[in-house]
Amino acid sequence: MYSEYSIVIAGVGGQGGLTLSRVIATAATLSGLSIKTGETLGMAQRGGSVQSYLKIGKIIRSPLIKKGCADALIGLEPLEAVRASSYVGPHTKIVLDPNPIPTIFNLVGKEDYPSIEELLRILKEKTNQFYIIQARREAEKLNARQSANMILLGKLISLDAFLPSEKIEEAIRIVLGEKAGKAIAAFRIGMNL
Amino acid sequence: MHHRQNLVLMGNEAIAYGALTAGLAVASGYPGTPSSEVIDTLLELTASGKINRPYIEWAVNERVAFEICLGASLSGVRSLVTMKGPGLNVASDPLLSSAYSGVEAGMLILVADDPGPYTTQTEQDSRWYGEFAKLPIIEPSDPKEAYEYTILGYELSEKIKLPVIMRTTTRVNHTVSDVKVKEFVEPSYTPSFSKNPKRYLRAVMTWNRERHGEVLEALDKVESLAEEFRLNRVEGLGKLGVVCSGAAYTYVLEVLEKNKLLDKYRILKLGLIHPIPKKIITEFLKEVDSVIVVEEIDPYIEMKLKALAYDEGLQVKIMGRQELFPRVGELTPDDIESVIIGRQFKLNNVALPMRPPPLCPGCPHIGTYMGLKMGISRAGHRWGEIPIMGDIGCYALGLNPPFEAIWTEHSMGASISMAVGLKAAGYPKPVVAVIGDSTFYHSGITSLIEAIHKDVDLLVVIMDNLTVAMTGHQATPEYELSISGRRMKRLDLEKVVRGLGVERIAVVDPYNYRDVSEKVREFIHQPGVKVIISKRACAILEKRAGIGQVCWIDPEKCTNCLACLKLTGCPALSPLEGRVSIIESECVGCTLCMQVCPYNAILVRKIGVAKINV
Repeated sequence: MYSEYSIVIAGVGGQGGLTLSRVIATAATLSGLSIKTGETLGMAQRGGSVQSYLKIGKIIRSPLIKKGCADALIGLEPLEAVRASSYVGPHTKIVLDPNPIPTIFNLVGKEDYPSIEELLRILKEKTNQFYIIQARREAEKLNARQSANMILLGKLISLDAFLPSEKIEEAIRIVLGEKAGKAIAAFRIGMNL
Repeated sequence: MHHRQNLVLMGNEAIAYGALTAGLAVASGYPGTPSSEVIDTLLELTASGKINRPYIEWAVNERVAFEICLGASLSGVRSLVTMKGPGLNVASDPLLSSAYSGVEAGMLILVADDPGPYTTQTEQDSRWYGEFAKLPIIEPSDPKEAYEYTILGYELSEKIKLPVIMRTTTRVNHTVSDVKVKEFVEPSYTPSFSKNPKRYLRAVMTWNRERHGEVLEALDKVESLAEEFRLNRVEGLGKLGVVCSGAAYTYVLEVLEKNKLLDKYRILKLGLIHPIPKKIITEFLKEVDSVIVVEEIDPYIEMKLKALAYDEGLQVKIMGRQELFPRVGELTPDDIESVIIGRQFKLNNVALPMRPPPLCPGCPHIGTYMGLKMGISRAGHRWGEIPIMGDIGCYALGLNPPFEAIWTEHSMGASISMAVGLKAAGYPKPVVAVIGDSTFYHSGITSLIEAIHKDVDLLVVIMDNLTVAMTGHQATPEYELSISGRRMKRLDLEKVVRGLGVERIAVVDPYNYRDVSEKVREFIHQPGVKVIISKRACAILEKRAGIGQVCWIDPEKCTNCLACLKLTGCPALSPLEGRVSIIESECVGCTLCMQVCPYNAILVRKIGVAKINV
């Protein structure tokens, strides 16, 4: 159905972007497809900008995605989604949690966090296929803050079935082990949003 | 036939799996992004009982790790030493002698470079070490090749009796991909060590000269072995040449395939970087009309090709990073496409606020910097007036607001020795050096010995968070139990420092930042070397182990003055939605914000207990 599917995940260190990337990679392998993921990490464990790139298909050469060429952008945070927006083209689907995480400059009052409306406007100008999902709030309702990313993934799969949902659920079980239950529930909520 | 399994592996995991398939016995290294997951993986496999190898441990620094592996290989077992690019600089002394001693069983040196750079102080290209140290260098392109090259690296090493360097870049180390792996092979070894003075002793100069010649002869054999191992290959029959290696090869192939240009191009993919394979390159240069060289960081292959073309009298035009590509930063498929088909990509023209990583919620370094700031002020100086020499580790994030503390961050251990340099030059004001526990053991200890011996007036703050935090919590000499299960002898940092001869020492808890400040005030004008050990486990580890309390803000007392945020910069505090609040899931209950709140509006409660005004 898709000869190749490429995803950029943009978020803040500690938000679980790497786990999300590992779930998709595992699901791709379970589906008999080839996968390459790459990460642009900061130098710390948490709190800096993090971008992950994933490419899934029959034969995948490199993990990097060309500018304007991503099939999907999963935005875990609005400022970081805009930072990754050079990968977005008119055909790109964006699923975004619009709840901001302040930078250290915002925390100490040296700089204001940009206007959310302005950030959303930049993304909307790039593509019509832009979906704002209150993933963290939905996950909190489930009492599963850690599973917010799975809601975003569920939404994306409902828009573009680049992998079978049962393979994603199997991958969640493999990657998350005993914590998989809530993540699968979150993924299913995302599928139906 | 080995059973083959298809796994999803990160490049570094693939290297660990490759080494185990090759019968690895001894592995060591020092953590450094993007190399750390190799030893981490070997340790996890040991902990889960999946492997049982004689020795897999982190070392105190790269040179020690290197020498451990060299010793093991001299005794006839296969070894693996891992490090990031600058780590090889630390290990360069034994590296340069290692060709002269050679090895008995295979030794693989993994060095992970960081084009970009994303996590490293310099955009170092470690391929130059091949010629410098007279050792072969191989370079894989992706996790699958990293697995295969690791196994081939051991075979190559044993055929020529020299250590082999495997150079990787972040896009190989941190790329996750499907990799077919074979079963692990138990090390087949009976460690034995025999005297061989000409090989193992560098004290006789005639031997050294003889060995120099023998090493060059061994290197001469590498090119034909590389042919046997198919490390270099030509793809395509076109007249436009591309020479590439590493991750750049995957970008080239992708761009040519997607633009349906494969038939016009001929690709030479080099897996052997040193010694440069002359035969295959010369033949290639004769078949093409022009050559583009695509490689990460320095124009290394490009310069080799140009020299070779000159020697062979070939007029073919060769261009690469010196002419076509950006001279700094990581190459991307976009860069290659813009050179090959002239497609320009649009960059974001929106200027976005930066997001440097802050110190984590409840990070003990926050308390140390708060104490340092207050202590310097109480000693009669302005913050920003006294040089604070920094070092490599999480505490370097103190360069960001609200502290903007450190003035330098240079190389492992340099905080103390550069501070000595300031004082040696006659710098009149007090000088402070801040250094983490692992960086202190790695290299700071020798700098401290120098400072003590020369009786320099200097305040050293060792920020002891009981782990190598930045790279993912690896062991320090203060660990009693390795992940491998090995019992280790714990070093006591205070006793070490006292044993070196420091008389003014204080051990303080950074969560009581006023204690830190009191010692800073007391020590800063005292003569000689003073050491404050600010000791508290990394907050991420504490949180994982389970915390007992969290802080909360009483909205009736809070005036939203934001002192908590401005003084701590703690990311568990959120200024969004108009009022400061504490994100409970992030808070570790360190109480630093509570200690600075002028209105006593921040309170602490045991986890599981309701918020009650006291």
